[in-house]
Amino acid sequence: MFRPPLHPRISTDPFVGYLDTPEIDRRFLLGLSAAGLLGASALTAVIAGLQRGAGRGDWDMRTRVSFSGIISTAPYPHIRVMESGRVRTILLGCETKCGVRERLDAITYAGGAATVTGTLIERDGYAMLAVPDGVGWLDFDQTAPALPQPQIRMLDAAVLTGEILDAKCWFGAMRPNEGLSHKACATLCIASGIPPYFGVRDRRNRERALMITDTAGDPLIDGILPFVAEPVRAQGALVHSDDLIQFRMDPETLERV
Amino acid sequence: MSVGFKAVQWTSFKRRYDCVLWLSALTMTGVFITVTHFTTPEGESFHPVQLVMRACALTAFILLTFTLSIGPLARLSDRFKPLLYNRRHLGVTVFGFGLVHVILVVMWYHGFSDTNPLISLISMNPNYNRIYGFPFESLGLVAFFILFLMASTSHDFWNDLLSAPVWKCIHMLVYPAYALLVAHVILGALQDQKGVILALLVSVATLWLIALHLFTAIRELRHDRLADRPEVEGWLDAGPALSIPDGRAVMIAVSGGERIAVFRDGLRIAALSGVCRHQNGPLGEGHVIKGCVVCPWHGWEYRLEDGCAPAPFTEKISTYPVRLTGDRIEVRAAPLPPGTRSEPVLLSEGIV
Repeated sequence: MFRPPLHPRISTDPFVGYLDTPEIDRRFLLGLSAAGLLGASALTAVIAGLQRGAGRGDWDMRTRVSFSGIISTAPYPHIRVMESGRVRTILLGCETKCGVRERLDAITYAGGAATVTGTLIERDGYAMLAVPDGVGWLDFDQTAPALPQPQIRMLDAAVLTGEILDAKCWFGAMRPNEGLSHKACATLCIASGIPPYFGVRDRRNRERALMITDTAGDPLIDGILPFVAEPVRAQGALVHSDDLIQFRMDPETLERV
Repeated sequence: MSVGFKAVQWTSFKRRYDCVLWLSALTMTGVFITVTHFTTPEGESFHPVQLVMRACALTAFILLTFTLSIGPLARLSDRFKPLLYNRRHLGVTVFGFGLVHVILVVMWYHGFSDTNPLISLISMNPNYNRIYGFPFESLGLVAFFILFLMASTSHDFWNDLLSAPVWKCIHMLVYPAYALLVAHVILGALQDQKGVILALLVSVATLWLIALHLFTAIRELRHDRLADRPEVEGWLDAGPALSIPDGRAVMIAVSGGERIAVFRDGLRIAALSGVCRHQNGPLGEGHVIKGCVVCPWHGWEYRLEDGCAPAPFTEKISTYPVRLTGDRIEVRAAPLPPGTRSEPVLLSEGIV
C-alpha cells in the first residue's frame, strides 16, 4: 500500500547555519525579530508599570550626621535627642546587618551622654543611625543636653494584625522592604540584632510601625523569627515611650492570618 | 561539526543571531528599569539593586519561555529551524541573566552579615512544610544549578565526551528547571503583587508551553505510527521510489525501533539512521546537499553511501541496506555498524 511521505513538501531552500541564509528564512527571521522585540518590550513595560511602589524611606549613605543625646540599649540600642523642644528616639545599628548592642555593652559609659555619628536611615519620622565600624562613631560628651526621663505611658491591651518587619530595611535601607520576597532578609536582619517592628495600619489607613518587645519590655527575637514578613495577629499591650510606641507582645499568641 | 575539541566556530548567522538576542535581552531589561523608574509613586522608588534584580529575573523568564518554544515550533514549521541553530546561546544568555539575579539576591538579601550568605539563603526561612511562606528561594536555587549545569556543558566538547544521549538527558532537565522557576515565582514575587499581570504572564507562558509540547507530541506520535512498517523476512517497505522527494527523505521504522531515514539524491536512494550523532537531531527532516545528508538542526553532514562525515570530520551513523523491488524501495530492518558502506539503489534514468 502506498503511504504518503511524511515530508512531502519539497523545499529548495534548506537552512544550513554555515551557508547563506535563504531569502525566505531571512525575511521570516527579520519579521520575527522585530515582532519579538516589540512584543517583549511591551510586555516588560506593562509589567513594570503595574508594580506596587517600593515603599518610602531613604538611606543617605553619602552624608554623615551626628546626634548628641542620651544613649541606651534598652530595649534596643538607641539615642534620645532633643529636637524642636521634643524628644526624638533614633535607633542605632551598624552599616551592615547587625546591631550595636555588643559594641555598646563592651563600653563603660556613665549616664549615657554621648554624640554618635553615622548615616541616617529615615521614613516618616522613624529613624535609625547606621554607625561605621571602629571607634570613631561614639564620643562621650558630658556637655550633651540634659534630657527628661523617658515619658512612659501604658496604653490599652491590644490584638493587632500586621507584619513583623526589621527596622533597618523598613526605614529605608531596602526598597521594597516587606512581604514574602523580603522574608529571609528580614529574618536575617532581626536575628543579627536589628530591632523588630510591627507594621500596622491605623484607623486612617496610614502605615505605622511599633517597636516589638516582650511583655516585660525586653528584647524579643527568637519567638518571632518564624513569623517574620507574613501577615500575623498577636496579643499584647501598647506602651507609649516618648515618641515611640512599643508593642509588648505575647509571642505565644502569634498566629498567621 | 567539530574536529577534536575546539572553540566555538563563529559564522555570520551566529553573529547576527547573537546581536538580535542581546539587543532583545538588553532592551527588555532597559525598558523594565526605565518604566519602573518613571511610574513608581513619588518617594517610593525602587532601590537600584532591587530594580536590576527584578529586571534580570523577568528577562531570563521570558527568554527561557521563548527558548523552550523553539523545539516544538521547529517541528511544526521549517521557518523556525534557524532558531534551533544557535539555541544554546539563548540558553547561556538565560543563565547569564539568572546569574546576575542570583548574585544580587544572595549579596543583597543575604550578604553583609556574619552568617554565610548561602547558609542564610536556605536556612533563614525554614517553613518547608507550608505552601504560603514556603522558602521559594530554594526552588530558584535548584533551578539555577540546573541552568548552570546546562550552560557549563553546552559546548560540543561535553556532547562528545558524554555521548549525545547522556548530553540530551542532562539538557532535558531544563523542563524540571522551568517548573521550579514557575513555582519560585508563584510562591515568591506573585505573593507580593497586587495586580494580575505577573500572574497572567506566568499562567499564559506555562499553558502555552504545555499546549505546544502536547500538540507537537501528538503530531509526532501520529507520524511515528505512519512510519511503522511491518517487517517481511527482515525487510521493510519504504514505498514507491518516486514518492521520496528529491533531496529529502521518508521516515520509516520497525514498531518501537529507531527511525530510519530513506533519502533520495537524484537517482540514488540510501537509508541511514534517522538520528543525528550530534544532538539526536531529526536527520530525516534534513536535506541532501552535494551528496551529503545535512542535519536540519546544526548542519552536521553524513555521506549517503556510508554514513560517515566527510573528512576531516570523523562522526559516523548506522546505514541500512536498500533494494528496489518493482517500483518500491525496501530497507533491511537490521542496521549495519556505523560508517559501513552500503551501496545505494540506482534508479534508471527514465524513471525520474
